[in-house]
Amino acid sequence: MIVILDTGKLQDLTDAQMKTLDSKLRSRFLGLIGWSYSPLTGELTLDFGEVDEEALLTKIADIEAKAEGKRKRLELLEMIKRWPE
Amino acid sequence: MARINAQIMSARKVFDFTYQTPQETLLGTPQTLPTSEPATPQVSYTVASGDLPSVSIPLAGNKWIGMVIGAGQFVTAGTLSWRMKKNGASVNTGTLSVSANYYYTVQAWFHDVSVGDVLEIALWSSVADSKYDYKAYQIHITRITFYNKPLSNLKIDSIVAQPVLTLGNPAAPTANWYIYVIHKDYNFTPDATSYYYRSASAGDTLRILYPDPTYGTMYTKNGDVSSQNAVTTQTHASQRPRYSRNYLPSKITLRYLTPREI
Repeated sequence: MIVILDTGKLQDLTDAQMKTLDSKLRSRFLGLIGWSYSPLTGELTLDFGEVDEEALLTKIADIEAKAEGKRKRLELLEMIKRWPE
Repeated sequence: MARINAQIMSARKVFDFTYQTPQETLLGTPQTLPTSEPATPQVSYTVASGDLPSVSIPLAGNKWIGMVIGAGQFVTAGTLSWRMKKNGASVNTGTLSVSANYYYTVQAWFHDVSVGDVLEIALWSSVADSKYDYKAYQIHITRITFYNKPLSNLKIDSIVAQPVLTLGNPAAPTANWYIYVIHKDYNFTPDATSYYYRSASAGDTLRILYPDPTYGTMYTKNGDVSSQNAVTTQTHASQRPRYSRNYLPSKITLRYLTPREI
């Protein structure tokens, strides 16, 4: 499962900033396999790998709570869904 | 005498698409990844005119996607970091957990590239014994506008899956190959944000299509619909690279319509 958060920030990350962000994300989101950030769009993509449906719904609720109402987009298989603000 | 509006249908047009063979390099001796970001990325390709797919009839418009792969193996479990650069500017960054003795693949999808663009991936690791030994590159097509006119009876004659690499394995190939086709209702207001698309497989015929000013008539999944200026990553116990493929048009037949008063 991949979850995309719109951070609203267009800022390039240095190697040191990436290390800090990596540490924070992995401590906050257990099971996170990887992440990516685009300085062009401000989108932060969280990759949780393959999860079952029940775990997926729990994970979404968890991310919604932790993302503090930021705009979210879920990409699952061929389906892309964007939640309104 | 009263005149009526009519649409004149062109002769049948056959568009054949040819994709260049991917460029692949397997290093004889793997390089050890640095533990901080390298000044010079390990993977670098400059887009040349000979890298672009060819089409049998000139298109009214399209964009190119640059697909670049960097891959290798971790000896000790750790975190791989990457940076995707276009002409020296950062496009995307990220990290990936890699288990001990597992292979990793970073597949970057550069959206809207041109001849002369330099496409790069820098790789570094949290542990000192990680390796890099493989790179690949290919150009794909997207946002195809056949004609700036309505199209009739567009038939998907054949679709190909690219890249086809000599090493590694494609991840989770889809049973039914399909491409995305933009279609507009006759009364639908054309603008940059209001459009529909549907997936179409070989053998499908679409009756009437209106090209979208932004997306054209066909567009491509990786590098446009999703993963636009972004990476897809994979890890695997034995496959290097393990990569995603795009389904791309190979042969399309259609007619275009010209409005006339008769």
